[in-house]
Amino acid sequence: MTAERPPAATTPGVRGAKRPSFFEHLHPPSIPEAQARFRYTLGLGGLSVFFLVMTAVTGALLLFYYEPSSARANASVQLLQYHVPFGWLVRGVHFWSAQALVVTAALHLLRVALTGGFRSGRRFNWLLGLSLFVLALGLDFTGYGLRWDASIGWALLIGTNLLRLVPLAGGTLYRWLVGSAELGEATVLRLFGWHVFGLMLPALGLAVWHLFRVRRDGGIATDTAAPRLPRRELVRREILAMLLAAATLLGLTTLAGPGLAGPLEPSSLSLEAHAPWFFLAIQELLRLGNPLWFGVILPLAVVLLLAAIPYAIDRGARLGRWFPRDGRLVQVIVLGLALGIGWLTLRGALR
Amino acid sequence: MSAMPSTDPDGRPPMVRRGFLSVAARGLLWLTGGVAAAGLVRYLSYEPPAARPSRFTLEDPVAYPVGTRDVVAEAGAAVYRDTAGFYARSLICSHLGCRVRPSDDGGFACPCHGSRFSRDGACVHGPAARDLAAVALALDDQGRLVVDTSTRVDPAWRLSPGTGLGRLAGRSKGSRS
Amino acid sequence: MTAWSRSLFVAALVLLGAVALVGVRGQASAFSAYGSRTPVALVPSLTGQPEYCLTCHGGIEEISAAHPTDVFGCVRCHGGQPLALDAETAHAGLRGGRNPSDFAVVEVSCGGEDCHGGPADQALDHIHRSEVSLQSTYAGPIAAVRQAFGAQNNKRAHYAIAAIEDRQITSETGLPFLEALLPVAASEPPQVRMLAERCLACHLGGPAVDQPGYQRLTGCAACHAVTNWQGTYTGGDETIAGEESGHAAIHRLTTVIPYTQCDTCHNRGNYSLVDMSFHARTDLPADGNASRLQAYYQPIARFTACEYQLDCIDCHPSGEVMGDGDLHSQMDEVRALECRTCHGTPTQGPQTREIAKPDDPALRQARLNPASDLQVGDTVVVTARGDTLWNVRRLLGGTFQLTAKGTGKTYAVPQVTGSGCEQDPANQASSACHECHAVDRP
Repeated sequence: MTAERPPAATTPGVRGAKRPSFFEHLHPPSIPEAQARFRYTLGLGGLSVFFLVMTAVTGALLLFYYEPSSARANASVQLLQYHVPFGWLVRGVHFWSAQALVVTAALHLLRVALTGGFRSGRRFNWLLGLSLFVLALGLDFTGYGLRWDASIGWALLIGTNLLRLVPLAGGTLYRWLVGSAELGEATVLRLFGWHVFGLMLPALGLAVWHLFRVRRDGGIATDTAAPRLPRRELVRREILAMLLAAATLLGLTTLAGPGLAGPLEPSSLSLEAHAPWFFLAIQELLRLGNPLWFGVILPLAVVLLLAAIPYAIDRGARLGRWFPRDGRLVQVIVLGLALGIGWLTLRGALR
Repeated sequence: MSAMPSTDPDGRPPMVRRGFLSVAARGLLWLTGGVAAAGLVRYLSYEPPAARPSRFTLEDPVAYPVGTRDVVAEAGAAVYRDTAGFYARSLICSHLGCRVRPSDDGGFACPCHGSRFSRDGACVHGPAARDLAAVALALDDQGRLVVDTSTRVDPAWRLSPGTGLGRLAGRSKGSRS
Repeated sequence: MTAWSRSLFVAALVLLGAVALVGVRGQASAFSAYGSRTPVALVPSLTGQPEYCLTCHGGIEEISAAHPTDVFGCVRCHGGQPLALDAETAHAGLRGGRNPSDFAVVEVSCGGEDCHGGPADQALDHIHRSEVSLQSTYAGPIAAVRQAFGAQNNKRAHYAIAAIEDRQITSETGLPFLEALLPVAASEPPQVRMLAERCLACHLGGPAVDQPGYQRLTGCAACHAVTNWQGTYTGGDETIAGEESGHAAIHRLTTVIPYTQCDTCHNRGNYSLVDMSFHARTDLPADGNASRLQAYYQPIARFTACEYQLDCIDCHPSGEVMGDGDLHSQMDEVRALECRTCHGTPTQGPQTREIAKPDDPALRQARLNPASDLQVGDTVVVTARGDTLWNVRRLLGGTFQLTAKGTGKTYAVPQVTGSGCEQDPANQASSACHECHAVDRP
């Protein structure tokens, strides 16, 4: 297996010594091997970071061609899709890495919940991660609307109208998102502002903080401290994961892209009415009754429930294994939520 | 399994024997990176087809008697007529692209850095080093003059009003071109 | 070392493979099926924005000399997405499907103050005239059938195929509005009800019967886009299936409309008021190859040689065919063309007027036809209602000459004054002339 390098090889000042690179320095000099086991974490947190970076980089490239006005938005996306060399690739990778981010972040949340990784000392980091997940959904929704085509009309209308239902602050929140009394020309620019800056900056800040807290709280929660893996080996594993993830993104983009319909006319919406895949569960809930309760309060309650897990629901101590015996309550809650949301999403997709 | 080589007498780790796979892997990654960089360059270099018109229709040739210089600001060109025929000069300064303006001495002056040009667009003074570009003229199917600022011609080229065809006249004295 | 190298090598290979896949995908494109390797841009001077329609539709004909492609482009008339390169996205927002002159969308495609939706006094109101003409409203047959079966006691029209109103009335017989027949058909006499059920498909706004011989488009293109017998497209655009009906023969608008185009609706058969049905004519060969004499008019008609040797438009000016901009009750209120319009009567020559000004609408129409050399100062024939026949000119010496709009051939127009005609000058309807001057049908 791997052995430690002789001290001389990494000591500063010794001629020919191989000093750790910047990327290696982002990691602690060594971590318990148990933390790096793929079977334990499934690499979901790391993949989420990678997908966030890919989304940000491709998003920055898209900035050179996308025009955030209601008159030119769809046409500029068409320009990217059909005429800019590899514009279809940049757009497609941006789309797939964003959806992959939502998926891996959700699974990562599930993994942390089911292994008790939110326990003692890591409670605040759980909140940071939850906030990141909510921000990711917001970024996905605002990004979805930026193509400004006929297929997003209903989703945008319903999503923004749900915001209006919030008591007291509803009207203000709506105007902050939509830019005027109803969907129209100001909306594209607002969505753009939230997507590129208003949600992005907090997301990047929280992501850095979240990763810092992982290190400060002692790394990934495990039960065994030895043997230890040198960071060089950790970085190598991450490199492999990134190469394979990048290849997957390219493959997905080549086979299927995000699609594009004709420009949106807010006054004459098309017949298709469906939410983006990550909000299909809410679309199903809205069929059941009062939109304020089923569309706003219930999803908020789910988020608050998740936030309360480390503080009010689970005060156990066992770390580092799947399905700890003293964490049954949390496991039932989280799995129940996951299955419920999954089933609702499936039902929405099959309509 | 890894073969851990011993250190050499200086304490330096010895030259690691790189396997073929290692070199090949790095080569593939460099290749991929190069391809990606080339793709990025192409991505950023896209230019949509030009939309700004470069052809402008002017008056009938009889409106320009011999010896006129007509500065057409909207077209970005000046139209001349001499005994040999019609010709045109671009009003874009050959230095860094500002629009030159007619000056008091009958020539052109550039407001940006002070370049000066003669009446015929020859460079007289200033940071500019080249004359104003000679651009093409033609007659449209209704017999009017059309200037095409995207087509360059020789400075000695003249449009003959009778035939509507261009030809090279004898070079005028004092021209720097 | 080797485990890492192996893994890295495999991962690098997979990534490179994905990149290669990207390269392959970049080459394949939906439009390469139509011969273009790169997108074909067209920047019309009217809009200044690039359009890529020609990438797939590269072989299509220019729509007309009056609408040059490098000035208008495609999107100005058709709508759609100029930048898209796959069919579905490109055709999103296409007006009227493949026919932007369909009356549902014609105002956007062809209208505008400077185009065909302009003021009547400058003869720019083509869209309005077509929409209120009898060929669109079908008011004539509806009024006639209602009168025949007692639903109304005169021939004044009250109903049309669709409700329509006309704010500006300029003629004596013009109507302010017409209501739709179908909603009230239930309370009409049974024959009128049958008319409403069976016969209201016949108008410019409605699709043609999908059978050979009846093939035409809707809206302006019903007349101005010439179709062939099968309704197939025979031009150069590879994206249009060659065996599909419902197409114009080529992508071209024309003012030189052949008689075959008029005959996609007219001269197709007879209506029977006994059983309220349409009896199609049976004397034409199934492949549409009939001589002019055979095909022009249906068997019961009587006509002279000039009537079937010329085209309909050589005699019927656009003021009659497209109407005068008013809602009318019947054809006779709009049509004033008779034999005497060109041939005169025993006592009087044809009515004429002089083309005095260079912006005369008749001159504008004449210039569209390369066969015409009409000038300011020429004298042309007019109908009793004032519609100008710009292709019938008086020559120096007083004789009249007709120039066929389709073939360009010139014909001397025999005049009735000074001939042996014995027809009563007060009874100059065409049927009276046909008593003697009629061609034998084979």
